[in-house]
Amino acid sequence: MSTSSSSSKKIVLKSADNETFEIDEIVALESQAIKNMIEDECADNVIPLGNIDSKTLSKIIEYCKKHAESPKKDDNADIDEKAVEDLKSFDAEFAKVDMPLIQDILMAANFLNIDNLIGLMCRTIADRIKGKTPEEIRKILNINKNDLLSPEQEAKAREENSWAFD
Amino acid sequence: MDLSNIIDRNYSSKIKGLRMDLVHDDRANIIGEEDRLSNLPEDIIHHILSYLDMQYVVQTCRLSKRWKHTWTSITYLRLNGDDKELFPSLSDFSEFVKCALSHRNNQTEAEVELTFTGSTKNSDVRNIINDVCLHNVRKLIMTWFSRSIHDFLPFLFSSHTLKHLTLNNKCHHLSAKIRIPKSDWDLPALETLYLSYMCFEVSRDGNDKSLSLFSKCVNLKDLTFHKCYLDPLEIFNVCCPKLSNLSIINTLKFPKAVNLVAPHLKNLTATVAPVRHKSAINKYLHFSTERFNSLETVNLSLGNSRCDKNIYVPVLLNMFKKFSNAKDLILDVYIIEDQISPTPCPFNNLKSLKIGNVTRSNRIAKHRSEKVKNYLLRNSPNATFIMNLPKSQKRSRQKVYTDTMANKVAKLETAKDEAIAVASSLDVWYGGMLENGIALKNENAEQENEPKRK
Repeated sequence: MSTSSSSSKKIVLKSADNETFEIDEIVALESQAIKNMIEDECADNVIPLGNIDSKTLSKIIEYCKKHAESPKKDDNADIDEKAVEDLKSFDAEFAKVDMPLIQDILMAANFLNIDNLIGLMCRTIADRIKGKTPEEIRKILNINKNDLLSPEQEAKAREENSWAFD
Repeated sequence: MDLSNIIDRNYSSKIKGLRMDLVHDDRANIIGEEDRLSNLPEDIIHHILSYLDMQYVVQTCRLSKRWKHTWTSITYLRLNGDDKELFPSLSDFSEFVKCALSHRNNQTEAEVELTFTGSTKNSDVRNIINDVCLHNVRKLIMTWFSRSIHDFLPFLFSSHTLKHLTLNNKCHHLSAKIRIPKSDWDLPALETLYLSYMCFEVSRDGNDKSLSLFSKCVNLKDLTFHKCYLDPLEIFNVCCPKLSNLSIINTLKFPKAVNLVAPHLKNLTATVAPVRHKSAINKYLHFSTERFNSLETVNLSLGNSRCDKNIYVPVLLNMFKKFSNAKDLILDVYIIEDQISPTPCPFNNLKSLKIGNVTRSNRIAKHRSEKVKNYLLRNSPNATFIMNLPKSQKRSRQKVYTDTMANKVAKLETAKDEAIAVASSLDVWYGGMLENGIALKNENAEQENEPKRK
């Protein structure tokens, strides 16, 4: 992957499909899990991420890069509003991907403990299921067909919470 | 193999030698087949649901066995009564709120975001707020719209569980005053209080013009007044032993004096709403407090409002003296334009001075602020000086485009705020002559919005 020209410390991440990604340490620190590893000095030359494929990992790195180079909100009361807006529109663009990838990113972000990204993905999923019928939501979320309620059970669940259904 | 369990186990064990390559398993089988979301930890599911209004959250009980009871353990509740399709009347919404709160598992503390239209004269509104207050709520964000003057409910101000309270008045017209209880608010657990577009009214007989509200809020740490109207007050007493952050943002009118007793105050922000109308702000913040010893960051801004310099300059210099221990000072260029003073520099040991809001058209101000810098940093030779100059370096086409777009948006925002503020101040002056006009406008706007909602 791209290598920045600066001489800062590099971290190499290896995806499940054995692709390596060299990134600046500052980018990797967006992940609380990697940060902990670095602080505990147990990050070797290469950090293997056996449950994240290269497609997901490159998206996550794209996100972390952008967020690492943006000024942090709590730096000063006088926030650069442009930077905030810029980051917002980046996030909006970033989330325009299909649901399987969103779920992959969410799982990986949860694993790597990247708070902002978890929030962004959760919000995106919420936006997509909002106002949809149960059948549509099951399809969007790919809910396990073996786990469905029987028609009677479903009617009962609806009955128990009838106050929330019109 | 259940991937989420492995993730969970790895995630929670931040042990030395954490390896992430344990899971080389049959991932290929998982893609596209597995119900991955349902396997995620409960708190992630709750996080997703926290972005949905409560009615949609409850309806997830039909999705699958996994989801059947998930909603009952959520901790963040969005109760939105402005969905007119679902809640044609306030009593429908009141009934819904009651059920949602009583069917939820109340063992865990809840955070509630409550939105509705209506005044507290309405008994349904009273019931809604009462229900919320009775259900182990630690955080309440209440946003409402009501055009009439109304009293705030005393029981909201006597909660012993509430740690965070946000009151956000969406009706920006100042004739829609909200009377808040004048007695001390009994919120001993409260740590954060955010008040937006609130008008502090004192007794109508006009004799008692001082107000103390927070002396029982012994744990209050963050206090914010956003676009509040504090003018009718002679003395505003704020006595909070643990207060650390005080922000008075985009203020429309300041009280005559603020008596602030906050020995642990670290950050102070005081800004004036951007208004072009000359007399819209005729006085700036004035503290009757002697000194702030633990103050670290001070952020003062006049925006572009043209205060009467003869009045506010002495006030400001007097205030600087009380901040002599501050470490970081942030000033906007308008506030310091004419601040060169023959008096000794009030600041003992600044670590940084930042001057913001400098626009390209303001070269003169830039020149002046150089003098101001020399004056304010006289005793602080090692302080860093930051001036937010407009970026005029080479920019790519794309950058120029986004910059101008962002500028346009920002300008529109400012213009909107200004329009509101000017309308408000004009209205106050002319004894509500404009009231009917603006109320009518609001009404029209609402009617226009109505079909969109449906």
